[in-house]
Amino acid sequence: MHEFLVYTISGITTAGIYAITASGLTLTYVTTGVFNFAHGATGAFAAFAYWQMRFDWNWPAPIALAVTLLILAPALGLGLERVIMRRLEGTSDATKLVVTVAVLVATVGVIQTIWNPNEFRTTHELFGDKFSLGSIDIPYNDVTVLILAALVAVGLRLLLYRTRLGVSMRATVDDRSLAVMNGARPDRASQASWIIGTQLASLAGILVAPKLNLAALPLTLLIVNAYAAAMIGRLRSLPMTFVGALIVGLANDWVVGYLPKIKVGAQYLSGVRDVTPVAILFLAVLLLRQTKLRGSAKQRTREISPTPTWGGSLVFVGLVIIAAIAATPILGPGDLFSSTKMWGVGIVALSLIPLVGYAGRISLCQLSFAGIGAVVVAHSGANGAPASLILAALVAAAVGAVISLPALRLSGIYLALLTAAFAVTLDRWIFQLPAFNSIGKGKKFDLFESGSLSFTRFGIGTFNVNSSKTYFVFGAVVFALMALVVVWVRRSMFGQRLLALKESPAACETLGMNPRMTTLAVFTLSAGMAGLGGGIYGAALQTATPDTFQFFAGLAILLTVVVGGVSSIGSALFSAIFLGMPITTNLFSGSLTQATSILTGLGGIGLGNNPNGFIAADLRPRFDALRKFPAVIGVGVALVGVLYLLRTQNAIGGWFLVIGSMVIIFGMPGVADVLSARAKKGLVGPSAVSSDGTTVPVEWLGIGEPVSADDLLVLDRKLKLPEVTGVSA
Amino acid sequence: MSLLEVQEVTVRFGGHTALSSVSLDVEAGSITGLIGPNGAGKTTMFNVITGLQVPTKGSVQLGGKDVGGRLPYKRARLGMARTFQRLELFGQLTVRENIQVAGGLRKQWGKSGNMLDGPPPTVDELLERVGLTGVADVRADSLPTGQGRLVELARALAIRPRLLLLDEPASGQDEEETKAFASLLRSLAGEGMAILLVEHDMELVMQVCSKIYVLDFGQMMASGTPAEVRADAKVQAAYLGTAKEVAA
Repeated sequence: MHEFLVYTISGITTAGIYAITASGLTLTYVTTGVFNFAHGATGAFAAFAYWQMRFDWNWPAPIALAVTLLILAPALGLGLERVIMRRLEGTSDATKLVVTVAVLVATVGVIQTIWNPNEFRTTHELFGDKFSLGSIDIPYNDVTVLILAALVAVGLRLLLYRTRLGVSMRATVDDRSLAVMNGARPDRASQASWIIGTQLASLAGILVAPKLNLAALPLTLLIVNAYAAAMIGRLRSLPMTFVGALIVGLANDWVVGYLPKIKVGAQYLSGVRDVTPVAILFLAVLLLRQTKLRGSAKQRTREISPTPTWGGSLVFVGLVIIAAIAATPILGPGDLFSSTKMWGVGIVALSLIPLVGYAGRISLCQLSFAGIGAVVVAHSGANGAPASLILAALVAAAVGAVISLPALRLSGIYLALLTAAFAVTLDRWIFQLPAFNSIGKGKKFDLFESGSLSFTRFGIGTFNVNSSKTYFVFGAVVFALMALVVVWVRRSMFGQRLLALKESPAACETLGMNPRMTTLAVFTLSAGMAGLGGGIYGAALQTATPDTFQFFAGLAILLTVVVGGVSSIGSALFSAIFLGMPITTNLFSGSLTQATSILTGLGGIGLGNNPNGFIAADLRPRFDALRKFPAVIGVGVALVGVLYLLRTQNAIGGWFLVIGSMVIIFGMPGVADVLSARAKKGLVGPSAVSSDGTTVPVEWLGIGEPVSADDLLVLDRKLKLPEVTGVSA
Repeated sequence: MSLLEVQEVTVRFGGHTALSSVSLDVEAGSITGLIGPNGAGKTTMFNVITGLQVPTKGSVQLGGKDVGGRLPYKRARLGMARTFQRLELFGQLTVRENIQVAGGLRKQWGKSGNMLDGPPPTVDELLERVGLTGVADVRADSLPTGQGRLVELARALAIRPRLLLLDEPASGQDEEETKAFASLLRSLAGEGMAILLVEHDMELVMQVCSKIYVLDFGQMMASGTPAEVRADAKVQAAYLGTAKEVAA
């Protein structure tokens, strides 16, 4: 009994912290429609800032607290709203979600840049003492947490229902333009909700940090626990969110307390501790009522998803393979080895295109599917049989189908949450499992070989792809094949259905489409592709740890694909090059190791302005114009070829080749622009001299520039009007 | 027995009653009108029939089968299709692809017993029939509203439904287009299709419908032939203006 009370009291305290952060999450979602994945990351940032002031600079606690919660957090919230979130108005739900994921990645990058993650830091609770109630010691800190949680609950209630600002916050979410017409100021409302939301995240971050190590990732991922609470509140009701927090908190601390007492299979269960909230999240999603079908909201930007042609796609994949072959002799052995993994990354990135690009659904666990694929390949492909890749795809697809089942009847955000939960479960539990000794045959099955998987590269008979060079080209070929699969999907009836379902679920259903089956199909396909990609990835690395397939690493792939333009095949190549080649590590070695995550994060944040990604919106139109000038292409290709030859003769360095080629390739559209402008001038030039005597034809007067005094004079004469003098144009 | 029988449907949103015990029948091979001022509950009725809105009370029968508990896509497979008042186009797809998606679905699940007799129309036939051949390869979201409504119509026709629900299909059309549209509706009914038409263009409704239901604030106010409805004093007072105004 005594034990039970102790666990219960600590559970209630944990619940208080979850309640604080979950209510902040719900508040911003309710008032702005943005589900903030970065909520935990901002909390982590605040916890680090507090540590800096309180323990590194030794400021008194009240001052450090006040600076963090009353100056830093509001500034951060206001900044987020001003710079990022405001621009998301009128973008798709998928874009909103991805932008907050980008904020998460960038924030973690910033934290790890400022505070070296290899140093150990601890923070302490606000109050160290405890008092006794009967036989139980109750820390003052727990009481403080509960009082704070209660204050938050009462404060939010009063704010939302008793103040003008609160009413307008509630109105904004229902209909922003209607709220404006009725005199509400949605800008103020959403600013307020971001400020308060960030403050709550920060408070929770500071309160929870002593319970964990002060490290960016655990603090950031704590958000998953808050999701579970928010989900029980159905992302709407604050009281139910508090109830949810209580359930999650109690379950968490009971499991932590009682689990070690289970002796049977203890080594398999120790990970359960870390995934209790995740299990609750799964349950909550399962039990949630179905969301009503709604039509698509009016969107500010038109999404671009051109149908790729077979001809163009074949040229693209041909170029990829040629470039891969050309790259092998000139990359140094070290760079070549670390680049072999780019094709695995690329295939995982490709797997996102049908799901995110065509179907508009978000998955945050593609790299986890890749991990499953890698496990399958490592176990079944010990002799390098390529069939193990197919098995990897099948197993990952099956797991993907099971994962997506509970979320099929719900809107997109729940699928995203479920995939995040699944990724965390794999990270913290499944991939960490010790060996299973299957009783009957005395065989051992060790999922991750206790920490490190090893792979044999593929081969049939005497032909194999063991060397870095052959494996690099092999990877490129598989990538090319997968790219063609994606093109085929987009051009097939199935692809059209996916786009149709994204645009209007209501219309699809009333035409007889089973939306759940369609979503299930695309999710399964995409999981299978990711599984295959994982096999390629693992065999490239030759040894892999669970960290390789971490949730957080997967976010970077999602972000780069979306930044590139999630319906363009090219974005997967961009992702492969950016994340799979040692470019950023070479560029920023040592000084800014977090550069990759900060850059990807910033790129993702920019999506608010350009949801189509840079390939579809910028690159493709520029290079399309180039097609009219084959000569320019010819000269460009020849120049790159010359550079390449010089490099093979060691006449120039590797960087010279890379930068030189870039300048040439991206210079080509510019040259084409100049040429076409000149051609236009030649054509339009002579006829542009106006026969009316005005500087431009009469009908164009005043359009390009203000009407000049001379033109007025000409017109007056033509109209036989008296000349007006002293008119300034 | 009528093809569609809606019995005593009530829909409440919180304290607001959108439909209160409303019944209506639609016969095969005829055009039935559903009229009423904005907010009368017409679109809500469409949502109840197609399954997008679960009613608080009441039943919906199609061809003698109770479809009440079925999901929208299952109802569509029993032979009903609709258009939307607020356009629900597949904007990123071309007009042709919009129709193709629907035609493909029909091929996948269409059972002849549930659908209108005869082979499903081809995409080109449909484009021709609604007059969209010229814009077949244009992205659907770049069309003006009037043409967008025709895309929705063609899309619905691609599954060759027994029951077609049209939600303000003629708004955004000019006089010439409306005329063509009226004859299209008549020819569809001539093939045996049952059509339920929500429309604000009274002239069109009075012209093509054999029966008209009038909704007002969620209540069925009157029903009958166009002549009967036109003569109904309550309808005149509430919908067309007071009797005096009409006389004047």
